[in-house]
Amino acid sequence: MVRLADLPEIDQAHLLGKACEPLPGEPFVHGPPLTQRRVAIVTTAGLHPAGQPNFDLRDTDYRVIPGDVDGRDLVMSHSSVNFDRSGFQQDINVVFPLERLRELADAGEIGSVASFHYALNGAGWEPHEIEPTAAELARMLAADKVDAAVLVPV
Amino acid sequence: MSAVGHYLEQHGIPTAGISLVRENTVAMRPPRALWVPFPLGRPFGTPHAPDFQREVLRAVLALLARPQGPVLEDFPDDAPAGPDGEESDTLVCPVSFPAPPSQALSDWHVRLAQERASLEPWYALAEQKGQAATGIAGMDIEAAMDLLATFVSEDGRLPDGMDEPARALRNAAEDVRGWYAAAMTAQPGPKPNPAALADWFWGETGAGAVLLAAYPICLHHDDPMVRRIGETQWLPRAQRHHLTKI
Repeated sequence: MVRLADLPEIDQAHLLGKACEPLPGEPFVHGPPLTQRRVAIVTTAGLHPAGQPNFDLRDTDYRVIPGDVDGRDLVMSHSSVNFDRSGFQQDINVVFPLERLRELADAGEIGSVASFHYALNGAGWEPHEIEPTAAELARMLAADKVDAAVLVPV
Repeated sequence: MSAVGHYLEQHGIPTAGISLVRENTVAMRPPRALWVPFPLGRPFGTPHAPDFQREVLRAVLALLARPQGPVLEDFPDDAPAGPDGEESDTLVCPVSFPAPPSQALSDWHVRLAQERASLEPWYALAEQKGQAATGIAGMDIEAAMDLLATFVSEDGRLPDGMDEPARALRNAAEDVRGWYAAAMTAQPGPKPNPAALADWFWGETGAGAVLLAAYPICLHHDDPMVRRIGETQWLPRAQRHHLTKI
Protein backbone atom coordinates (compact mmCIF):
# COMPACT_ATOMS: atom_id res chain seq x y z
CA MET A 1 0.00 0.00 0.00
CA VAL A 2 1.40 3.41 -0.92
CA ARG A 3 -0.27 6.73 -0.37
CA LEU A 4 1.39 10.10 -0.52
CA ALA A 5 1.80 10.09 3.25
CA ASP A 6 3.73 6.81 2.98
CA LEU A 7 6.37 8.29 0.71
CA PRO A 8 9.59 9.85 2.04
CA GLU A 9 9.08 13.50 2.96
CA ILE A 10 11.39 14.63 0.19
CA ASP A 11 9.19 12.86 -2.39
CA GLN A 12 6.00 14.22 -0.84
CA ALA A 13 7.34 17.76 -1.02
CA HIS A 14 8.41 17.32 -4.63
CA LEU A 15 5.10 15.84 -5.77
CA LEU A 16 3.01 18.44 -3.95
CA GLY A 17 5.20 21.22 -5.31
CA LYS A 18 4.29 20.48 -8.92
CA ALA A 19 2.26 23.02 -10.83
CA CYS A 20 -1.26 21.64 -10.54
CA GLU A 21 -3.72 24.32 -11.50
CA PRO A 22 -6.93 23.32 -13.29
CA LEU A 23 -6.66 23.93 -17.04
CA PRO A 24 -9.25 26.24 -18.63
CA GLY A 25 -12.61 24.66 -19.32
CA GLU A 26 -13.78 21.19 -18.35
CA PRO A 27 -14.06 19.17 -21.59
CA PHE A 28 -16.02 15.96 -21.11
CA VAL A 29 -16.69 13.89 -24.23
CA HIS A 30 -19.29 11.13 -24.30
CA GLY A 31 -19.29 7.97 -26.40
CA PRO A 32 -21.14 4.72 -27.02
CA PRO A 33 -21.47 1.91 -24.46
CA LEU A 34 -18.19 0.33 -23.44
CA THR A 35 -18.99 -2.84 -25.35
CA GLN A 36 -18.84 -0.82 -28.55
CA ARG A 37 -15.78 1.26 -27.82
CA ARG A 38 -12.38 0.99 -29.45
CA VAL A 39 -9.78 1.48 -26.72
CA ALA A 40 -6.19 2.72 -26.86
CA ILE A 41 -3.62 3.12 -24.13
CA VAL A 42 -1.78 6.41 -23.74
CA THR A 43 1.03 6.09 -21.23
CA THR A 44 3.47 8.60 -19.79
CA ALA A 45 5.87 5.82 -18.78
CA GLY A 46 8.43 6.59 -21.48
CA LEU A 47 7.93 3.25 -23.22
CA HIS A 48 8.94 2.46 -26.78
CA PRO A 49 10.10 -0.44 -28.91
CA ALA A 50 13.79 -1.11 -28.35
CA GLY A 51 15.82 0.66 -30.99
CA GLN A 52 13.58 3.72 -31.21
CA PRO A 53 15.08 6.95 -29.87
CA ASN A 54 15.13 7.25 -26.09
CA PHE A 55 13.12 9.95 -24.39
CA ASP A 56 15.01 12.92 -23.04
CA LEU A 57 14.25 15.17 -20.08
CA ARG A 58 11.54 17.71 -21.00
CA ASP A 59 10.77 15.66 -24.10
CA THR A 60 7.23 16.42 -25.26
CA ASP A 61 7.39 14.12 -28.28
CA TYR A 62 5.62 10.76 -28.44
CA ARG A 63 6.41 7.23 -29.53
CA VAL A 64 4.05 4.86 -31.31
CA ILE A 65 3.49 1.38 -29.89
CA PRO A 66 1.93 -0.99 -32.44
CA GLY A 67 -1.14 -2.83 -31.22
CA ASP A 68 0.39 -6.21 -32.00
CA VAL A 69 3.59 -5.49 -30.07
CA ASP A 70 5.12 -8.16 -27.87
CA GLY A 71 5.51 -6.38 -24.54
CA ARG A 72 8.92 -7.94 -24.05
CA ASP A 73 10.17 -5.85 -26.97
CA LEU A 74 9.46 -2.58 -25.15
CA VAL A 75 11.98 -0.64 -23.11
CA MET A 76 11.47 2.28 -20.73
CA SER A 77 13.62 5.37 -21.15
CA HIS A 78 11.60 7.67 -18.87
CA SER A 79 13.85 10.45 -17.64
CA SER A 80 12.88 10.26 -13.95
CA VAL A 81 14.75 8.00 -11.52
CA ASN A 82 12.17 8.44 -8.78
CA PHE A 83 9.85 5.50 -9.36
CA ASP A 84 10.07 1.73 -9.42
CA ARG A 85 10.94 -0.02 -12.67
CA SER A 86 11.20 -3.56 -11.30
CA GLY A 87 7.47 -4.16 -11.62
CA PHE A 88 7.63 -3.24 -15.31
CA GLN A 89 10.59 -5.55 -15.75
CA GLN A 90 8.70 -8.49 -14.27
CA ASP A 91 5.43 -7.90 -16.08
CA ILE A 92 4.81 -5.07 -18.51
CA ASN A 93 1.07 -5.23 -17.80
CA VAL A 94 1.68 -3.56 -14.44
CA VAL A 95 2.45 -0.40 -16.46
CA PHE A 96 1.03 -1.04 -19.90
CA PRO A 97 -1.95 -3.43 -19.61
CA LEU A 98 -2.22 -4.41 -23.25
CA GLU A 99 -2.76 -8.12 -22.55
CA ARG A 100 -5.54 -7.26 -20.09
CA LEU A 101 -7.14 -5.01 -22.70
CA ARG A 102 -6.99 -7.79 -25.31
CA GLU A 103 -8.68 -10.13 -22.82
CA LEU A 104 -11.51 -7.67 -22.25
CA ALA A 105 -11.96 -7.39 -26.02
CA ASP A 106 -12.01 -11.19 -26.39
CA ALA A 107 -14.64 -11.38 -23.65
CA GLY A 108 -16.78 -8.74 -25.35
CA GLU A 109 -16.45 -6.28 -22.48
CA ILE A 110 -14.99 -3.64 -24.82
CA GLY A 111 -15.54 -3.32 -28.55
CA SER A 112 -11.96 -3.62 -29.78
CA VAL A 113 -8.34 -2.74 -29.11
CA ALA A 114 -6.76 0.08 -31.09
CA SER A 115 -4.20 -0.62 -33.78
CA PHE A 116 -1.79 1.84 -32.19
CA HIS A 117 -1.03 3.03 -28.68
CA TYR A 118 1.08 6.00 -27.64
CA ALA A 119 3.77 6.77 -25.09
CA LEU A 120 5.03 10.04 -23.64
CA ASN A 121 7.72 10.89 -21.15
CA GLY A 122 5.79 12.19 -18.17
CA ALA A 123 8.44 14.44 -16.65
CA GLY A 124 10.03 17.80 -17.08
CA TRP A 125 7.29 19.70 -18.89
CA GLU A 126 4.60 22.05 -17.70
CA PRO A 127 0.98 20.94 -18.25
CA HIS A 128 0.28 23.47 -21.04
CA GLU A 129 3.39 22.40 -22.97
CA ILE A 130 1.87 19.02 -23.84
CA GLU A 131 -1.14 20.53 -25.67
CA PRO A 132 0.33 20.38 -29.22
CA THR A 133 1.36 16.74 -28.73
CA ALA A 134 -2.04 15.83 -27.29
CA ALA A 135 -3.76 17.50 -30.24
CA GLU A 136 -1.68 15.41 -32.64
CA LEU A 137 -2.40 12.23 -30.67
CA ALA A 138 -6.12 13.04 -30.76
CA ARG A 139 -6.02 13.27 -34.55
CA MET A 140 -4.26 9.92 -34.84
CA LEU A 141 -6.56 8.26 -32.31
CA ALA A 142 -9.57 9.54 -34.21
CA ALA A 143 -8.13 8.22 -37.48
CA ASP A 144 -7.86 4.80 -35.78
CA LYS A 145 -11.54 5.20 -34.77
CA VAL A 146 -10.59 5.18 -31.09
CA ASP A 147 -13.32 6.46 -28.80
CA ALA A 148 -11.75 5.65 -25.43
CA ALA A 149 -8.21 6.37 -24.29
CA VAL A 150 -6.98 4.79 -21.07
CA LEU A 151 -4.40 7.15 -19.59
CA VAL A 152 -1.68 5.51 -17.56
CA PRO A 153 0.93 7.44 -15.59
CA VAL A 154 3.89 5.85 -13.91
CA MET B 1 -1.26 12.77 -17.13
CA SER B 2 -4.17 15.01 -16.08
CA ALA B 3 -3.14 17.56 -18.72
CA VAL B 4 -2.98 14.87 -21.41
CA GLY B 5 -6.54 13.84 -20.56
CA HIS B 6 -7.75 17.43 -20.59
CA TYR B 7 -6.29 18.15 -24.02
CA LEU B 8 -7.33 14.83 -25.59
CA GLU B 9 -10.91 15.51 -24.51
CA GLN B 10 -10.67 19.06 -25.79
CA HIS B 11 -9.81 17.52 -29.16
CA GLY B 12 -12.67 15.02 -29.05
CA ILE B 13 -11.25 11.83 -27.51
CA PRO B 14 -12.99 10.46 -24.38
CA THR B 15 -10.48 9.54 -21.68
CA ALA B 16 -10.29 7.74 -18.36
CA GLY B 17 -7.03 7.80 -16.46
CA ILE B 18 -5.21 6.33 -13.51
CA SER B 19 -4.20 8.74 -10.73
CA LEU B 20 -1.17 7.90 -8.59
CA VAL B 21 -0.98 11.17 -6.64
CA ARG B 22 -4.52 11.92 -5.56
CA GLU B 23 -3.74 15.43 -4.29
CA ASN B 24 -2.52 16.53 -7.71
CA THR B 25 -5.53 15.00 -9.47
CA VAL B 26 -7.90 16.81 -7.10
CA ALA B 27 -6.15 20.07 -7.98
CA MET B 28 -6.07 19.56 -11.76
CA ARG B 29 -9.57 18.12 -12.23
CA PRO B 30 -9.01 15.89 -15.29
CA PRO B 31 -12.20 14.54 -16.95
CA ARG B 32 -12.19 11.04 -15.42
CA ALA B 33 -9.66 9.57 -12.99
CA LEU B 34 -9.35 6.48 -10.82
CA TRP B 35 -6.98 6.97 -7.91
CA VAL B 36 -5.08 3.81 -6.99
CA PRO B 37 -3.08 3.26 -3.77
CA PHE B 38 -0.13 1.62 -5.49
CA PRO B 39 3.59 2.44 -5.58
CA LEU B 40 4.86 4.92 -8.14
CA GLY B 41 5.86 2.88 -11.17
CA ARG B 42 3.10 0.28 -10.68
CA PRO B 43 -0.20 1.83 -11.85
CA PHE B 44 -1.84 -1.62 -12.18
CA GLY B 45 -0.64 -2.83 -8.80
CA THR B 46 1.25 -6.09 -8.89
CA PRO B 47 3.28 -7.94 -11.52
CA HIS B 48 1.83 -11.28 -12.63
CA ALA B 49 -1.51 -10.64 -10.95
CA PRO B 50 -3.73 -10.65 -14.06
CA ASP B 51 -7.05 -10.90 -12.22
CA PHE B 52 -6.23 -7.87 -10.10
CA GLN B 53 -4.86 -5.90 -13.05
CA ARG B 54 -8.08 -6.67 -14.96
CA GLU B 55 -10.18 -5.36 -12.05
CA VAL B 56 -8.23 -2.08 -12.04
CA LEU B 57 -8.67 -1.79 -15.79
CA ARG B 58 -12.41 -2.51 -15.53
CA ALA B 59 -12.73 0.13 -12.81
CA VAL B 60 -11.04 2.81 -14.90
CA LEU B 61 -12.99 1.92 -18.05
CA ALA B 62 -16.25 2.04 -16.06
CA LEU B 63 -15.72 5.77 -15.56
CA LEU B 64 -16.42 6.27 -19.26
CA ALA B 65 -20.10 5.64 -18.61
CA ARG B 66 -20.43 8.53 -16.14
CA PRO B 67 -22.90 11.15 -17.36
CA GLN B 68 -20.91 14.16 -16.18
CA GLY B 69 -17.56 15.13 -14.77
CA PRO B 70 -14.91 15.73 -13.69
CA VAL B 71 -14.95 12.33 -11.99
CA LEU B 72 -12.45 11.17 -9.40
CA GLU B 73 -13.05 7.78 -7.87
CA ASP B 74 -10.90 5.82 -5.43
CA PHE B 75 -9.98 2.21 -6.14
CA PRO B 76 -10.83 0.39 -2.90
CA ASP B 77 -8.15 -2.29 -2.69
CA ASP B 78 -4.45 -2.31 -2.04
CA ALA B 79 -2.23 -4.21 -4.45
CA PRO B 80 -2.00 -7.90 -3.56
CA ALA B 81 1.17 -9.84 -2.95
CA GLY B 82 2.69 -11.36 -6.04
CA PRO B 83 2.35 -15.00 -7.05
CA ASP B 84 5.40 -15.97 -4.95
CA GLY B 85 3.82 -14.75 -1.74
CA GLU B 86 4.23 -11.71 0.42
CA GLU B 87 6.48 -8.99 -0.80
CA SER B 88 9.50 -8.61 1.38
CA ASP B 89 10.25 -5.31 3.13
CA THR B 90 13.87 -6.29 3.40
CA LEU B 91 16.08 -7.86 0.84
CA VAL B 92 18.40 -10.69 1.67
CA CYS B 93 20.64 -11.28 -1.31
CA PRO B 94 21.56 -14.97 -1.47
CA VAL B 95 24.61 -14.00 -3.49
CA SER B 96 27.62 -13.07 -1.39
CA PHE B 97 29.47 -10.25 -3.02
CA PRO B 98 33.24 -10.46 -2.55
CA ALA B 99 34.69 -7.89 -0.21
CA PRO B 100 35.77 -4.73 -2.02
CA PRO B 101 39.29 -5.14 -3.42
CA SER B 102 41.80 -4.52 -0.69
CA GLN B 103 44.28 -2.64 -2.85
CA ALA B 104 41.99 0.37 -3.22
CA LEU B 105 38.32 0.93 -2.67
CA SER B 106 38.36 3.06 -5.78
CA ASP B 107 39.17 0.08 -7.97
CA TRP B 108 35.67 0.26 -9.29
CA HIS B 109 36.28 -1.85 -12.38
CA VAL B 110 37.27 -4.86 -10.26
CA ARG B 111 34.43 -4.46 -7.81
CA LEU B 112 31.78 -4.16 -10.51
CA ALA B 113 33.21 -7.09 -12.46
CA GLN B 114 33.01 -9.26 -9.33
CA GLU B 115 29.40 -8.28 -8.71
CA ARG B 116 28.53 -8.84 -12.33
CA ALA B 117 29.93 -12.37 -12.17
CA SER B 118 27.96 -13.09 -8.99
CA LEU B 119 24.66 -11.92 -10.39
CA GLU B 120 25.08 -13.00 -14.01
CA PRO B 121 23.25 -16.37 -13.64
CA TRP B 122 20.23 -14.62 -12.18
CA TYR B 123 20.20 -11.98 -14.86
CA ALA B 124 20.38 -14.75 -17.48
CA LEU B 125 17.34 -16.33 -15.86
CA ALA B 126 15.47 -13.02 -15.97
CA GLU B 127 16.32 -12.71 -19.64
CA GLN B 128 15.07 -16.25 -20.31
CA LYS B 129 11.78 -15.37 -18.62
CA GLY B 130 11.48 -12.18 -20.66
CA GLN B 131 11.87 -10.12 -17.50
CA ALA B 132 15.05 -8.19 -18.19
CA ALA B 133 13.86 -5.11 -20.11
CA THR B 134 17.08 -3.17 -20.02
CA GLY B 135 19.09 -1.90 -22.92
CA ILE B 136 18.49 1.80 -23.48
CA ALA B 137 22.23 2.57 -23.55
CA GLY B 138 22.95 0.56 -26.68
CA MET B 139 25.91 -1.17 -25.02
CA ASP B 140 26.29 -4.41 -23.09
CA ILE B 141 26.39 -4.43 -19.31
CA GLU B 142 30.17 -4.81 -19.18
CA ALA B 143 30.64 -1.70 -21.31
CA ALA B 144 28.08 0.20 -19.25
CA MET B 145 29.89 -0.69 -16.01
CA ASP B 146 33.25 0.23 -17.50
CA LEU B 147 31.93 3.61 -18.60
CA LEU B 148 30.73 4.35 -15.06
CA ALA B 149 33.86 2.99 -13.38
CA THR B 150 36.13 5.04 -15.63
CA PHE B 151 34.04 8.16 -15.07
CA VAL B 152 34.52 7.84 -11.31
CA SER B 153 38.10 6.54 -11.29
CA GLU B 154 39.35 9.22 -13.67
CA ASP B 155 37.54 12.23 -12.26
CA GLY B 156 34.76 12.53 -14.78
CA ARG B 157 36.47 11.30 -17.92
CA LEU B 158 34.18 10.29 -20.75
CA PRO B 159 35.40 8.39 -23.81
CA ASP B 160 36.68 10.44 -26.71
CA GLY B 161 34.70 10.18 -29.90
CA MET B 162 31.49 8.97 -28.26
CA ASP B 163 28.25 10.48 -29.55
CA GLU B 164 26.41 12.33 -26.80
CA PRO B 165 28.60 11.01 -23.95
CA ALA B 166 26.43 12.61 -21.26
CA ARG B 167 23.36 10.72 -22.43
CA ALA B 168 25.43 7.55 -22.74
CA LEU B 169 26.52 7.97 -19.14
CA ARG B 170 22.97 8.47 -17.93
CA ASN B 171 21.63 5.53 -19.93
CA ALA B 172 24.49 3.30 -18.77
CA ALA B 173 23.54 4.11 -15.18
CA GLU B 174 19.91 3.28 -15.94
CA ASP B 175 20.83 -0.03 -17.56
CA VAL B 176 23.05 -1.02 -14.63
CA ARG B 177 20.25 -0.28 -12.16
CA GLY B 178 17.85 -2.28 -14.29
CA TRP B 179 20.31 -5.14 -14.65
CA TYR B 180 20.66 -5.52 -10.87
CA ALA B 181 16.89 -5.27 -10.35
CA ALA B 182 16.21 -7.92 -12.98
CA ALA B 183 18.80 -10.25 -11.44
CA MET B 184 17.35 -9.84 -7.94
CA THR B 185 13.70 -10.24 -8.89
CA ALA B 186 14.49 -13.39 -10.92
CA GLN B 187 15.50 -15.21 -7.75
CA PRO B 188 13.02 -17.60 -6.11
CA GLY B 189 10.79 -16.65 -3.23
CA PRO B 190 8.98 -13.45 -2.30
CA LYS B 191 9.99 -10.49 -4.39
CA PRO B 192 11.50 -7.47 -2.67
CA ASN B 193 9.14 -4.53 -2.63
CA PRO B 194 10.26 -1.48 -4.63
CA ALA B 195 11.63 0.40 -1.61
CA ALA B 196 13.61 -2.60 -0.36
CA LEU B 197 15.08 -3.17 -3.80
CA ALA B 198 16.15 0.46 -4.12
CA ASP B 199 17.63 0.51 -0.61
CA TRP B 200 19.63 -2.62 -1.40
CA PHE B 201 20.95 -1.29 -4.69
CA TRP B 202 22.00 2.13 -3.38
CA GLY B 203 23.07 0.98 0.07
CA GLU B 204 24.73 -2.37 -0.41
CA THR B 205 26.07 -2.84 -3.91
CA GLY B 206 29.22 -1.65 -5.57
CA ALA B 207 27.13 -0.43 -8.48
CA GLY B 208 25.13 1.77 -6.14
CA ALA B 209 28.40 2.97 -4.58
CA VAL B 210 29.86 3.90 -7.96
CA LEU B 211 26.75 5.88 -8.85
CA LEU B 212 26.89 7.67 -5.49
CA ALA B 213 30.56 8.47 -6.08
CA ALA B 214 29.71 9.75 -9.55
CA TYR B 215 27.03 12.11 -8.26
CA PRO B 216 29.27 14.98 -7.07
CA ILE B 217 31.46 14.52 -10.13
CA CYS B 218 28.40 15.01 -12.33
CA LEU B 219 27.36 18.13 -10.43
CA HIS B 220 30.73 19.80 -11.01
CA HIS B 221 31.48 18.49 -14.48
CA ASP B 222 32.68 20.71 -17.34
CA ASP B 223 29.93 19.42 -19.63
CA PRO B 224 26.65 21.24 -18.81
CA MET B 225 24.66 18.23 -19.99
CA VAL B 226 26.42 16.02 -17.43
CA ARG B 227 25.68 18.62 -14.76
CA ARG B 228 22.01 18.65 -15.76
CA ILE B 229 21.83 14.88 -15.64
CA GLY B 230 23.44 14.88 -12.22
CA GLU B 231 20.93 17.39 -10.96
CA THR B 232 17.81 15.72 -12.29
CA GLN B 233 18.36 12.18 -13.56
CA TRP B 234 20.94 10.47 -11.39
CA LEU B 235 20.09 9.94 -7.76
CA PRO B 236 16.55 9.19 -6.55
CA ARG B 237 15.41 11.71 -3.98
CA ALA B 238 14.64 8.96 -1.50
CA GLN B 239 18.20 7.63 -1.69
CA ARG B 240 20.08 10.88 -1.02
CA HIS B 241 20.79 9.85 2.57
CA HIS B 242 23.37 7.39 1.21
CA LEU B 243 25.53 10.34 0.14
CA THR B 244 26.88 10.50 3.69
CA LYS B 245 28.84 7.33 2.88
CA ILE B 246 31.00 8.86 0.18
